[in-house]
Amino acid sequence: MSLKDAVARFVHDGDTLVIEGFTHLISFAAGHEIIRQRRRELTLCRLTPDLIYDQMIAAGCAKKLVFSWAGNPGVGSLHAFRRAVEGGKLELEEYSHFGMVARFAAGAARLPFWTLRDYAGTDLPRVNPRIKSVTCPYTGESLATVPALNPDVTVVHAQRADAHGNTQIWGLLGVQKEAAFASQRVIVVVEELVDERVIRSDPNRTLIPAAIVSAVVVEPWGAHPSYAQGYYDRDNDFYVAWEAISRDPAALARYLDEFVYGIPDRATYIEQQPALAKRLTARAQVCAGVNYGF
Amino acid sequence: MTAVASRELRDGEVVFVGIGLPNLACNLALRTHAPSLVLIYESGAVGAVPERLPVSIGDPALVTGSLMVCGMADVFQLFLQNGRIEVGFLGGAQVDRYANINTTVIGSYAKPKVRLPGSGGAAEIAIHPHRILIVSKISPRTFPERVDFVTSPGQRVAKVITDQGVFERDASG
Repeated sequence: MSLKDAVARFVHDGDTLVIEGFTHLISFAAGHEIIRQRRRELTLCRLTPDLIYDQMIAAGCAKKLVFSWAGNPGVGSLHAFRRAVEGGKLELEEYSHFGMVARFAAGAARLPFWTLRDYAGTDLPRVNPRIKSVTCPYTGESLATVPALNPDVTVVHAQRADAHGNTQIWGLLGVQKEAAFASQRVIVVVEELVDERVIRSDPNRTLIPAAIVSAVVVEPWGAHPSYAQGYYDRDNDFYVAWEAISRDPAALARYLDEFVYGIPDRATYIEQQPALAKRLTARAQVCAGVNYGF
Repeated sequence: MTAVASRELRDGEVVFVGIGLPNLACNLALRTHAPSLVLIYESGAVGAVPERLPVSIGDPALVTGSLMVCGMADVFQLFLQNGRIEVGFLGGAQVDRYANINTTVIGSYAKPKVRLPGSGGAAEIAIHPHRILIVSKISPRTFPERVDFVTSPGQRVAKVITDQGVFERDASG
């Protein structure tokens, strides 16, 4: 399925949407397509909103943000996010990383909440009444709780999948497995479509099974300016450049015009930046391999 | 400051590495006096040996050559909450005299003067490790009497390392 069709069919106005990937494998391709299709009133959830949600906030897609760290990783601030929050224009629901991870774990297990030993002495529960506590029925200990997060739709970028959606990821795994299992619908975007035999040759590497996948989309370089381990490096120059772009609303609008609204799809985005491949393509470092025989 | 901070780490320890200055200090320690230091990042890299200075805590160089890569549910539950981390190393936009860290907001939460990134893993990194260290540049703005928001509680912090000196707890705690 094309990304255009997948977003048209599975991402709706008002949805609770997750595009996960911790620094690694962030589907900018899907974020840009959602901006192009002008989705509105979305509740955007991610541990780290990163540049992709900064762009979606600037483009007017977001009603609310559920998150745990909203910075430009390694650089500084997300300025569209900051403008929206400091201007009182974006509803926030804020956790720590462990809290967000626990929310996805509860959602994936179809439990109403998750317990964790956390938040004693912090001000987070004061500003987020959804962080509560429960008394352990066995020990009497007071434990923090966070509610399950069950998104309407989750987008996961991955290195490879087969046509059915059996999806393999390596490198940093983030919370993609939990987010996908917690979600009603799952869109998988991959660097490469592979034969089912490739998946079956290394089943321990499968993170997401076809049974929970709604659509498989092939979009090489679909995670740029984030990265795909073994395919291309993070475009740190662009993350640095985003500081100046996002600081100036006019520059940000020009960016969206040129790289999102002004082009039809990801293939065009890559064609218009021919230097990326030379600068960022990963060098090979292949693992030793394992014996699955019996 | 970074060099002093790096010397707080002992060879062979397991350290949970925060973003920014702690990342620098831990990588400096690994390359100098503590070659067996085990760096764990909240991104899931365990025993990382980055061949370039990681720009962020999710840098691909943390994966290549590491001992283990796990999902974030495992990092927080099986390593951190389980009590397997000896040292937690944090930075901070604001640090107060009780070693509380604020990385959330300057001003009020509802009407922020400056909205900062928030906790990330810093709330739980200040709670679970056996020894907690903070490294931060000192100034009247960054070291107020009381932080505007407690992102990471200071109760268990052992030392605050600054560019002007190192703070430790007195007998009264």
